This record gives sequence, C-alpha cells and structure tokens, in this order.
Amino acid sequence: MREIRPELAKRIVWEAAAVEAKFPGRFTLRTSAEGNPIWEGSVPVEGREFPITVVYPIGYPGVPPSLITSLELPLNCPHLLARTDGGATLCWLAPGIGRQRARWDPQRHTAATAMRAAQRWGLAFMVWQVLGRWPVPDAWDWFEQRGAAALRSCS
Amino acid sequence: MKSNRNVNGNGRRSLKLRAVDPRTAFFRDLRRDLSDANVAVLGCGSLGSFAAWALASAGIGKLYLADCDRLSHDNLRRHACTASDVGSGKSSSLARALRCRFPRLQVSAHDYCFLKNPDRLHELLAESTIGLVAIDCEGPKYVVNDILWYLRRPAVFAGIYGGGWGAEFVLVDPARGTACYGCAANSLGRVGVSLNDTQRPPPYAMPSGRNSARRRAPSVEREDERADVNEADPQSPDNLDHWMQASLTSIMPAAGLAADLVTAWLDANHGYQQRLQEFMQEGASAWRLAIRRVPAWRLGPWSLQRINVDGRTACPQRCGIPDEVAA
Repeated sequence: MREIRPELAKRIVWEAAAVEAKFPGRFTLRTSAEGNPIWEGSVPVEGREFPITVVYPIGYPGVPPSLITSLELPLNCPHLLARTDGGATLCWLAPGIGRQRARWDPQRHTAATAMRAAQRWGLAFMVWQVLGRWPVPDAWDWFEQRGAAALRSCS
Repeated sequence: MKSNRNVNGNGRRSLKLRAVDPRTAFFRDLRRDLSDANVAVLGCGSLGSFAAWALASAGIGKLYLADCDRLSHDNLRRHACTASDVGSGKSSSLARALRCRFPRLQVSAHDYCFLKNPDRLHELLAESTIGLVAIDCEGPKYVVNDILWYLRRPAVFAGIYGGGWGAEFVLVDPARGTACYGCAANSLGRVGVSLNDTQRPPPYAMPSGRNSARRRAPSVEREDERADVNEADPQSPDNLDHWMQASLTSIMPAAGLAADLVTAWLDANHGYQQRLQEFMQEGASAWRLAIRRVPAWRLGPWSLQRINVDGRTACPQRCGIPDEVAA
C-alpha cells in the first residue's frame, strides 16, 4: 500500500477542521484499497442520507477530490463521470470552466467543499428524477449564485 | 580547447584534447562559489530552458531538470534546444544541450508528470537547495507549494504571459516568512485551477501553433486610461500580431530575471545579502515585469514592479482556520 505523502497528511489535518465544522460526526477518515486517503460518510439531502466517499487523488491539491456514491443510480442518470463496482463518480465541477471563482481553488477549498457540492448534486438529482431535466449546468456554481430561489423557478 | 601534450610509449608527442568548462575564467571573478548549489528546474519550456542555461552560466554546480512534455517543432522558435531534439523529452534534451555547453555541469533529467508522481517530486525538491518553477499550469504548482512548505525549501515561481507582454515572479521562502504560492497567486489575480489546463491553457502559458488562442493583457480599468492604451492595445487589430507572437525579446529577459532571483537567494545563503535585499525592498516577495505597456498594471514598457504579498490568515500552509470553519 502506498504511503501518504507527509505534506498531504499535513493538509488533511488542516482540512479535518472544516469537515468537522460543516458535517460534524458524519465522516470518517480512512484509506482506500489503493492507498488513497478518503472520507467516508453521508450528507443530508432533503431529509435523506446521501452516501458519499471523498477520495483524495494522487496529485491533490493540484487536482480536486473525487466524489463517489454507493447509491444505486438509474442507468440514464446524467452528470456522472464513471461507474464502477465501487459506485458512481459524480461530476461536480464543470471542466474547462473559465470563471475563476467557479474553479477548484486549493487555497480555499477542502474536502468539505466537495461534500457540500455532493449535497447540491443530490438535490439536483432529486429534481431530475421529478422533472426529467437537470436543473443546473454545474451544480456547484449555479446554487452558489442563486440558491433555493432559483430551484423553485425550475418547477 | 586546451591541449595537453603527452609523450606516448614511442617517444612521440600526442595531443590530448580536453574540454574545458567555459565558466572557468568566470569562476575566477566570482567572490563566492555557487558550485555547491543544487537547483531544481521544474518545467523545461521556453522560460525554463533559458533560465536553466542562465543558471548554468552563473556557475550553479548541479541542475535537476524536470518536465513531462516532449519537444515539438512549434517550440523551436523559442527554446534552447534544437531541431535534432524534436520528439525527445524536454528535460533530457535540455540536459544534453547544457552538458555540451558546460562539460563540468552536473545535470540530470527527470521525465515525469508532477501530478502523477508527487513522491518523486518530493524527493527531487528534498535534494535541491532551491527550486525554479517554470510550469505553465496551476495544478502542479500547488503540489510543489505544499512540498516546499513541508520541506522548508525556497523556490522562485516564474511565468510569462502568452504574447510576451509581461511576466510575474514569486519567491516562496518559508524560512524568511514569505507568503506561499497560493496566497501570492491570489494576490496577483490568479484564482483556482482549471481542470482542462491542457485544452485551455492559462493566460500566462505560451501559445503554440496548434493552440494559439488570444492572449490579452489585462484590459483597462477606467475610461480615462483608454487614451494611453491605443498605442499598445492588445485588442486592437493593428497590434494583435504583436501580442500573440511572443519572441525571445520577452522570454530571455524573463528567464534572466528568474535566474537572477535564484542566484540572489543563493548569494544571500552564502552571506551576501545585497542582491536579494535589492529585490525584496519594502517586503516584496513578488514582482511584475511589464515588457510592453500593461494598462491594468499601470506599468511598462520595460518596468519592474515589486509587490508585497500578505499571506492569508486562512492559508493552509500557515495552518490558518479554513474559510469553511470561519464562515
């Protein structure tokens, strides 16, 4: 099993405060079979629990973390990057996005940021299940700007 | 070339040609010896190749050259390597070129992706006295930043804007209490990492023939500045070619300045503080070099500006409280 880089370990310790502040008692830090540090837990979405695993990639923080859910998703579910036996990888950042504010920012963003994005993804998924269309082009950015009010305008 | 006449077994004199390091005469003028310095050059593109050349010329003893990219024909217009190196790795090609020029220079090539091999990057920086980061995408820089702070190693981050109108430099030195690269990048207006850096290069990446998107200098901020802009307006059709075609007239000064920052730090490390103090007057740890007139910087042409970067209280390198906790 690969050892965790000491500078990554130091960063994870820094991020743990944010994870605990935003989702107290909901996530546990573990190591995946490949040796990557992961946060395992669930985020609340409209009263339901949405299971999520936040995976730190090798090049973190130069590369954003991955979000994987073990929830059974429909085969035609949009905004998924991949499906494996371990679950489905969520698309939570629009690739090639030009607006700097909507990018992954290693100086500000943490695993807790990804967990919040998972909440938004879960909410967008629920809207998609009811309305048949994904409410936002990028779950991250759109809700940042407009929040619940915009969501109501979709229905 | 110096000849060394030897007498062989038959009593005949033979000429034994021995390569002499062209820096030898230069070394005699140096009041301090930089031959014990190991410098890691991360990124062997246009800027990195000439900066490595300048560092070798300045008497650096050992260079570690690292880049995952290969040399293409597009690069030749503005690279220290030659046509015979096209298709080869940039780091190994540059290492060959420098060895030919400086026979006694110790130089090693490291051909790997920094994001996929941060462990190797950690080892490389651990063996280096100082780093010169000339990578043209943001993601790896944050990995380097984390490693530097953990190892308490310094580095100069250098980038030239596509079009060659300006360049920015950041000195990260944990021992001197400078801001980290992330805080400096935020101060300089660079926020975040674009996921598709290879498809949409950041504005400071050099445009290639395949992907020569427009590179524009920051636009004016006020109406009353427009009168000053017209002469070098990057958006003017008359000047567009000038802005898109970065040449060695911008690359080499930027590379020279990057190398100068590195050698100034090394001098300070040897007890000669003056050069570094000149750079870091008033607490500056970042610099902008405007090669053309840059209205948004209110600078140029050919002007250098010192920038004082304050570290963010929420900076991860200083173990500040993350924004999400404070919010």
